[in-house]
Amino acid sequence: MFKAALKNVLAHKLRMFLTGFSIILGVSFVSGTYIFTDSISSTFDNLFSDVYSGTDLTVRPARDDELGQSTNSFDESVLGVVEAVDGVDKAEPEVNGFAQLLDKEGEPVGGQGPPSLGFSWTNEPALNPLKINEGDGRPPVADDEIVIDKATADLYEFSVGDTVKVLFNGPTETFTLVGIATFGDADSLAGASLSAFELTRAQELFGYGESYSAINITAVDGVSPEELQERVGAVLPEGLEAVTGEQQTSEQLDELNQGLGFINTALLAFAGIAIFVGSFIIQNTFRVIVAQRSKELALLRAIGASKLQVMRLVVYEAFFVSLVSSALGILLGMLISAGVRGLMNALNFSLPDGPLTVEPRTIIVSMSVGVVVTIFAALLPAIRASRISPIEAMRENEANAGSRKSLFIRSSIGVVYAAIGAVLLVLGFNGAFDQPLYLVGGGVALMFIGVAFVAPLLSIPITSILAWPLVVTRGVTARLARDNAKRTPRRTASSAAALMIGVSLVTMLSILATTFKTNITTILDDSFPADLSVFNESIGPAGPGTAGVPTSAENALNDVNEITDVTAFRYAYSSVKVEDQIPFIFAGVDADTMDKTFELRATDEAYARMEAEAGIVIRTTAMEANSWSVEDVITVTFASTGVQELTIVGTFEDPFDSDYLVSTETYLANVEDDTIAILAMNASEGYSTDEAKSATEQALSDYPQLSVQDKGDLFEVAEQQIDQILSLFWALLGFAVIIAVLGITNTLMLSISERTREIGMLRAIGMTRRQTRRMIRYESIIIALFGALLGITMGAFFAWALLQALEGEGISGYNVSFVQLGIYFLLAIVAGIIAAAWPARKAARMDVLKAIYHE
Amino acid sequence: MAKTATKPRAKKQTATIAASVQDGQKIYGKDTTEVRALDGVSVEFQQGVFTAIMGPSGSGKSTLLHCAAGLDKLSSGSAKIGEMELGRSKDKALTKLRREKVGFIFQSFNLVPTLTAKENILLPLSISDKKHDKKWFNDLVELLGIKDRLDHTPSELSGGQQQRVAVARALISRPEIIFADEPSGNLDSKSGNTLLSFLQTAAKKYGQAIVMVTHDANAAAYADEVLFLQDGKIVDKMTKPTSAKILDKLKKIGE
Repeated sequence: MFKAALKNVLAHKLRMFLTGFSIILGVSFVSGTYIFTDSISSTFDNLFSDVYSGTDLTVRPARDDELGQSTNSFDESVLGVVEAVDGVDKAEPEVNGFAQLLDKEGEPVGGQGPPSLGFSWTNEPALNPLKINEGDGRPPVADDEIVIDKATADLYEFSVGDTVKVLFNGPTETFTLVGIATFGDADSLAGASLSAFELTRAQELFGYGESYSAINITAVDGVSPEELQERVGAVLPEGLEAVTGEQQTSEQLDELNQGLGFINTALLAFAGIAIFVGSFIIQNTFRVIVAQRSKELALLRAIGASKLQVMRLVVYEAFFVSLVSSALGILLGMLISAGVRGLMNALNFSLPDGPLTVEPRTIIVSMSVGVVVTIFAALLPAIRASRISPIEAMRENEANAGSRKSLFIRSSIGVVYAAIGAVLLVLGFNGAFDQPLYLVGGGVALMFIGVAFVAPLLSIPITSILAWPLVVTRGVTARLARDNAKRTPRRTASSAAALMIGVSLVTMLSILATTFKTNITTILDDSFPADLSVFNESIGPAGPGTAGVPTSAENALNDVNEITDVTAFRYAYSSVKVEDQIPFIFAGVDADTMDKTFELRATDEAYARMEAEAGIVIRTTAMEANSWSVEDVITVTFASTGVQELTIVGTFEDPFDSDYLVSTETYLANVEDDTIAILAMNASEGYSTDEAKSATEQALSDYPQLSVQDKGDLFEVAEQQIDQILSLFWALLGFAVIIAVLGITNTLMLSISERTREIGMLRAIGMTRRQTRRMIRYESIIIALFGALLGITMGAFFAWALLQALEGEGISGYNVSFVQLGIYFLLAIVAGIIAAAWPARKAARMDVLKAIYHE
Repeated sequence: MAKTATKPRAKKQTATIAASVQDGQKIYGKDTTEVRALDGVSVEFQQGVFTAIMGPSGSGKSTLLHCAAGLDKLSSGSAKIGEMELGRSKDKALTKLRREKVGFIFQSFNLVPTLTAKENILLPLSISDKKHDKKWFNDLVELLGIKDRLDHTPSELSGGQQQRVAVARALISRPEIIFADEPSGNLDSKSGNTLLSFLQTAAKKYGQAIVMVTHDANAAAYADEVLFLQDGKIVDKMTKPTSAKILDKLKKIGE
């Protein structure tokens, strides 16, 4: 049986290639994801090990596992304490902080891209991650001197001697570029822009006064870092810790991996979709193969092969195909990961060069995924094959299309699956149980499978309806095409189902986007009455747009007459613990002006009491979830000041970035970083918004990283952000659609070879090549339209379920852009035409005589 | 390609040539593996005449039919339907020719399984977007005895009924010539006889040229004329054949 299966695979290379292609693509995404992240990790591992190779020990403020670093700096006197420890060879202080370089036009370097890091220059080369190569200048020694990283210098065409402007948490400062440095051997650190200054100047620039953010230490020969760590740790004041270079390297790697996590998750999610879509195609191919070979299989049964042997024959065939395809998929995955790296470098992430890392894990996981999915998909057709009775070897009839009765049974199962899926989905969206994501994913998958089960039965009436316009206008070729689509409902439905998956996700996203866009207008109008707001769009600690507004910028607005009600919102990201939870954002707001710039429907006196009693105001949903009530005292833990007890002094209804509000005074007393997230304000009486806007811009001219936005700008930015996210998804979902189109091509190729004689006859009685092509094309279009219809219906349901769940989050309504749905149908037609191109050509080119006498 | 431009020949003023092959050669393979399927065949098929082509397996009888019908091309020589030279024609012209002037009947019926009997019969007309002559259609189905089976799909018809549907399909566009490849090969003798007598009638009554390849002497006996092929050459002709005479002749050729 094994040999027979292998021979079959080799005899039908093209068919196997088409089947295998979907596996190749799916597996390539899986392996590409692993290879990409492994390669990046290992090159950074090398880079960090290299950079920290000279550093035996670092003294720094202690870090809390949950809340991060408690403080940014410590007193200079610690240096003396450390230097006195026996075994310390050299100890060099370091300060670091935010330093945004400006390009020659005065725009922030990197745009909304990677972060900008500033350092003090360390004179001991062994302890300095930065390195100035021969001919690239010298370290900074004077107050107005700066060194920047090579990647930034190259990209923005800075050379030694140029003037460089830099932003700190204050107005712009000007420096002379004296040196260009590399980070270890890399031009930059993952695209961050780096700058270095003389130590005392850096202390001043970063606002540290007479303190340091770290001390880096080398040990004398014969003292191990661990030994030194113990000795130094023993003399350090409370709140400081000593970590070895090794520990630091692994910490940095962990952070990096977390940063890469989102790419990882996204790629794996799409790999999942690709494989899921692919499994439909695999199943379809094997179903057709079994149908076409039913006579041959029956013959095997007639000469004594057991049911199990026949089944194994099909399964083995699937195994061979999956083995080869998975291996090719891994190779393609290497290309993909190299491509992703190239793409990220093109976007100025400047990832260091390094070899592609293919871990054994990558190969094992990718191979298993490819093989298991393929065999699983081929299982149903294999069981079907085993049921072929020996007598069928004698019968002269075409491939058994399966009875209507079994279609009904199949459909009933499908309805049950889809219903269970729908329930899981709704539960998942509404946050039931602990892992809604699994519920949603499982629900969606079950619904897809359920609908795919019902689809054959649905396809019979629905394809008739979809084909109706074609039949009326195009006559007999369309008629034949429709009948062909209906002739094998399972096959048609399976091809359509593969397309359905991609289309449904696209539809869901577009309905969500349309609804969100409609909602944004209302939300911004209702809850954000402020005329103007000031943002920093650069990437900050929590993603794009979180780099923040320096407090000095707020001060710069003090004397602007055109504006009033200036309200500062400060956000602490994942660094404050409320009872036992760490919310993503914990906010401090200006209590006295809050209600003029933001409408959250807070209880009376909430803001006043928040300020007067240093209390906390909490959103009603969080109150309910934790069964708190007003006047309860809760514990809030801050990284720098530790556990504080706050009284709940009020609540608010409407959704806001944070569920927890304290006054600016309370916030600043407990959080070290005084950076503002958003500044909101109104135009003063007698001034138009435009006048207020230009006055604000004028006052902030020293802060080119900030943008002043009125409501129109905000709408625009919000819509742009939605569109940006969408276009990313569309690009990736396009991939799922491509696989589905290949699936339709595959089905058509198989159908044509099955109908060779019929096509020959049609040609003999006068069908032109053009008509033949049309006939195939129409069949393809009908399948594609059916898939699109299923997909759009499913997508509409997914969107409905999600929006239903978001009702409480202030998103309401259900806005469908019918133009967009119309476009999807048109695209389905195009997809159908593309899928048919090759099969139609093949059918039209058939030699009439050979086709007629085809066995 | 002119429809009525067939010139009347001096010798046979009453008959028009529907199709002809002149000095037809068909060679497969090269050098040592060369096979001459047709080796200098010249033949004319006249309207109103039912011709049977016979010969042992490999004699080239099917090749002759295919080349005469334009489904295959001669290696040298000429094949014409009406005045049209098939060898030089492109697929488009050949398709048009098949639509207008040629009908086919195959051994394995070759009906479209999704269409009813009626739709199958009318298929050539629907493909060329032509209206059908209702009277002609009714006459055909009446004569072929399939009037009450018109709404059935092929799977609901017997073999004989299916082949009669195929014959009606071949005749519906009133082609000048019908090529039949073992039309009774898959039928029992009763159905076969019904079918063959119909073809005989069609040639007489409608002036149809009919060319049939068969290896069955009984079937060939229905024809007006029998051509005997051996090794790619026409070795004999017989008019007013009977099955006994044919069998006799075949025996001689076989030796």
